[in-house]
Amino acid sequence: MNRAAQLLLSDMKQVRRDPMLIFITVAPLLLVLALKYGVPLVSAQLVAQTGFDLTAHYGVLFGTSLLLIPLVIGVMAGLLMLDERDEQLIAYYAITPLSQEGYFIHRLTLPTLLSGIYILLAFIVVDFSAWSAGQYGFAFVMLLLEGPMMALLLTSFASNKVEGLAWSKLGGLLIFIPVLAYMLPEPWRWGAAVTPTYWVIELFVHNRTMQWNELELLLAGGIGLGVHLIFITVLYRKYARMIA
Amino acid sequence: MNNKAITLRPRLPYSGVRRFFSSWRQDMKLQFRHHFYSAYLLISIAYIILLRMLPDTYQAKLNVLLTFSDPSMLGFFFIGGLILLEKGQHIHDNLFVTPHSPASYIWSKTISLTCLSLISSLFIHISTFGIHQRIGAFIAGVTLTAVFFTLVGLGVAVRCHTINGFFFSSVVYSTILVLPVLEILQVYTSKLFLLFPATGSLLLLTSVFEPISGADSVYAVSSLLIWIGIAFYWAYSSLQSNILGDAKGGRDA
Repeated sequence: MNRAAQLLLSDMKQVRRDPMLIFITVAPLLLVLALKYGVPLVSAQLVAQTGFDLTAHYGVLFGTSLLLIPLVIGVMAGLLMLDERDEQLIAYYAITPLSQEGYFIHRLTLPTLLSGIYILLAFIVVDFSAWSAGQYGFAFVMLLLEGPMMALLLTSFASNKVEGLAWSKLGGLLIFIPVLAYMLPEPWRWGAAVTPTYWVIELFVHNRTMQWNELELLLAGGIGLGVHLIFITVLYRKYARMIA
Repeated sequence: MNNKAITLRPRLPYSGVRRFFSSWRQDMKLQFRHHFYSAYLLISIAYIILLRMLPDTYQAKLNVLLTFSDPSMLGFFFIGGLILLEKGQHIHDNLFVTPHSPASYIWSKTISLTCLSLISSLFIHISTFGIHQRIGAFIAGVTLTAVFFTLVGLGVAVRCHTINGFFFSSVVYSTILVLPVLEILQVYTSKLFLLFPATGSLLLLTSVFEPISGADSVYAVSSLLIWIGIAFYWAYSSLQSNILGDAKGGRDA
């Protein structure tokens, strides 16, 4: 733990020189504020101008916006790890008492904590007051897993930071696919169920007027968590093989 | 004994051109190998599905916004990784002692990424609207926009040390540069936007659906060409001072 604290301390020093932290702290905050104040404003304007009622789609909008928080933070963590791999720093970390696993855990703990804080903040601040504790609970655990998943996606498939950029684009597609699925007719939309992000959005699509019954919620939450765990396990195995 | 005289290959007048083409081909190959093309194939398909599901009234406007914000600007995003990887591998130290000039290095990177922008944009556009008479305006809009933004991205990238540092800087630059989008979204209008390169891009892309006057077309193309000139000069001098001349190897970012 002491070693991890030392690395954290050196990270903090780095952070003062690196404007990335400003980005990581400010970007999710802006997103939360945009959801709180921007969405109702745009929604009212849309109804007045085109008669389009956005409130009916708040679920998918809220779910997508929440997914952006771990996406941004996870991609940044992944790119940082790729940067360090390109400079062969990981090999140095591996021979210190920190070890390779320690490095990996350390690099993913901070982003997970950070996205956890922002997701909770979004839950509290942006309350469209339509969802149950069960929906929030399942979504929170899934969203916490999204950050490390994105970082793993980059580090396990990309051999350097240039490929990392291409993979980060595909990571963005993981958020876009459930939105497309939401617009597709019934049998087709289930095609997106293989993506973990689909289940986060699916949880929020139902609101108080169109509630989940308990069994349905447990099923959707359970499958969602299962898909997340499968993704993380497969990606981690690939990452471990790549490093070894 | 081998009596064959060893003759040096004469330096052909077009050797610079040939060098440029082989460097461009190499850049394209590298981008293909780094999955840029496969990533954009999937992204383009997703955009096509989205466009096809929307009612006709929204398709044109969304196509303009999508083309402008994603395929046209992809060079801005990818050039950061390309430059930083080469920087980390100290390729520039060796590259620029060869006859390969910084200018042809910049253009080879820019044009190769512009090819990807153009292929992806055309794939999305033609799949939704088919081939039509005004496709020329669309090609011009995407090409000029992609060249401009890739040059700016290159100027930003040579100043940075890390990929995340590049992202932070690029957010600042791109937010300012894309402000005229507010006009398309009917959020805010200003005469000052006429000075922005993005206004020319959006005008050309919109002209595909709502024909514009000859004067407007001339304004859009010449504004973008002037901005490309400025961006090239900036990218060139940034490369000179941050990679070629400066021993520190660039500023913090």
